[in-house]
Amino acid sequence: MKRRTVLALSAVIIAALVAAPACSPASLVPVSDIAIAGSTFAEPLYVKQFDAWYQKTQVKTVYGAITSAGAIRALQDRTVDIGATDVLLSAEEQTQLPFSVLHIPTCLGAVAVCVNLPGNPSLRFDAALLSAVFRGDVKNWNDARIASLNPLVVLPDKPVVVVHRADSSGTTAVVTTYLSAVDEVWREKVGADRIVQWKSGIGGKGNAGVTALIRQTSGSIGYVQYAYAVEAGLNCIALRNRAGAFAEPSVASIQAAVPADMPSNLQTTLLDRAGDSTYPIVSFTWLVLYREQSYDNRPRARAQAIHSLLKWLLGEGQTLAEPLSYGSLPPAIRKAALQIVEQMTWQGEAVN
Amino acid sequence: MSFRKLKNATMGMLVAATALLIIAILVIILWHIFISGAKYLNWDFFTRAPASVGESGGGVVNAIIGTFLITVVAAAIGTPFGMLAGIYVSENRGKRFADIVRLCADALQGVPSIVIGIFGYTFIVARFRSYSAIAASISLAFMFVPTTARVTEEVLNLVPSSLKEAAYALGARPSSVIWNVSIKTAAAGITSGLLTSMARIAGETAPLLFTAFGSRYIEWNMSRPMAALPLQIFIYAGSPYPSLQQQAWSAAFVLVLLILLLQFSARRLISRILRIHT
Repeated sequence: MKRRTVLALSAVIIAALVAAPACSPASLVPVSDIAIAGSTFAEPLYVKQFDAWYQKTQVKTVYGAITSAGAIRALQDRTVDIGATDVLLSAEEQTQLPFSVLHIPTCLGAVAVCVNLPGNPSLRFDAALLSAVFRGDVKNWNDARIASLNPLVVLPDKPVVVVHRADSSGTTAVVTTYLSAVDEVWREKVGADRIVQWKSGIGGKGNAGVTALIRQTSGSIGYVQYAYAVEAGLNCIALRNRAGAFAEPSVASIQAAVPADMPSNLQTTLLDRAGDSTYPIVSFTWLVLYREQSYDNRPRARAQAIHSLLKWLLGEGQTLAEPLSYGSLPPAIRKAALQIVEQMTWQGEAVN
Repeated sequence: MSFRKLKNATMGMLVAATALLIIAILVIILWHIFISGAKYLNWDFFTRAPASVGESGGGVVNAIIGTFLITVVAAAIGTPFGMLAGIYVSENRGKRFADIVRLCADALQGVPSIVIGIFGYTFIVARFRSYSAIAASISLAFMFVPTTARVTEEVLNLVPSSLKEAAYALGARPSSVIWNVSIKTAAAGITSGLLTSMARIAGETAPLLFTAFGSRYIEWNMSRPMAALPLQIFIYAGSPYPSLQQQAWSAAFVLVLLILLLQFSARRLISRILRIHT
């Protein structure tokens, strides 16, 4: 064989190999298997719930903790059935998606602000102080601003080490949105986003990384999802809420953040809500899926499997939340969320 | 003592010290993983799927099966490409196209594994609209091919040219010389190269994140999301629950054991081939 023929043949073989996947049919996954990806925060709870659902129905639901930002990408590429996110998709993010989506809240979470100080004193902060500390304005624990809110605590002469997230994070988005809402200086100097510019301190990867850094560093202060703070036994700060009282994060103080009058799509903030016992940094965590489920020739059975899983998550599945330090949804919210689930369609008809 | 002897002694000590340092680092890592991981190892760990969060017990058999399947299929896909490329480069030493192939293999070896993962996501996962173990295997095969090609080439270059010339003198065709002389002589070396490459891809996490996805169920179907040991370690180590963090250590112990086993068999084969040639 001539060299040119050999080269031409190899080119044909390579072209065939590259082209082969493009010609194959769309989905290889069995109709009833469900893939969900996103939030690292809600992963333990979802995994627990999906295990229970599997015991009950033998439907396999796989979950990938690829972060809330990754969920949007996966939804866009339609590689998952449902995306899990800690923050609502913005209008702009929704326009990047091919079809309209439904947002379904599944549980309540809170961001705890935790400190590592000798003797584990109970500390109280208000929003202005928290903002000043996180901006690196308060450099030592014996600062007068901390002392004035904590007159009974003997504060050590120790530098303040701020521990924050180094990666893009829904947790950071929740905290910075709260601080921007309640503190003007923060809004102007830092703002609210998944990643913000930190003036000082050290960055950890994921909630687990931040938790570990707080535990290792004496004099540190950082923010983590409440479940991580509980499991690691971190010392959580009581924050001043809208009513002027100080509230520590707990399942009860998290649930207190849900107001009686919620819009029917439930898309409202739970930050800095009224009530004496309300913890101020609370948010829903959401599952996001396409309203019309017949895209990519997906079978009706798949939509039905998703529909029954969602219904179960909002019903019996809620009992699994509190043992893992997540706040279960109050009954009124469950009812409203179930109505959102009922908006799912398959070729224009309701799925049930 | 003369200056020359002093210099010799100092350098000898330095070399010994660095050698000891390398051994010490390996021993410390292994010891730490062993101490942290071994105490939670039990029969369940090797035979059961993960227990629910907050419950004790359970194992990582899903990840062991997943790592095994993904690695073996990746090797099965990558071996023919890697070996044939290696044979081509070795047989055409000095030719321009062979040099280009070698250069490409080296470049591919240097591509960060996360990039390979994103490649797998974009071209397989996003196209099929589903995460799958086969996407992970194909991604890992892209890491497997260049190492295999280079190892095959190096081992074939070790085959004495006198052997091949003798075969040609007897009137053997080039294909017969390659198959019956070069490959057969270098078989042990090539096998050890394959095992080393397998050990390398078995420990990769990044290409699996966007392809294999992970799963908590025992899965044999390559077209579905599947667990793998490095992936499971990555997820468990980042979890808030001490029981899962402990399982991460145990899984790390199993993974290291598996990789050392592969490396060890590779060494054995290498020592065999070296005996042949001396």
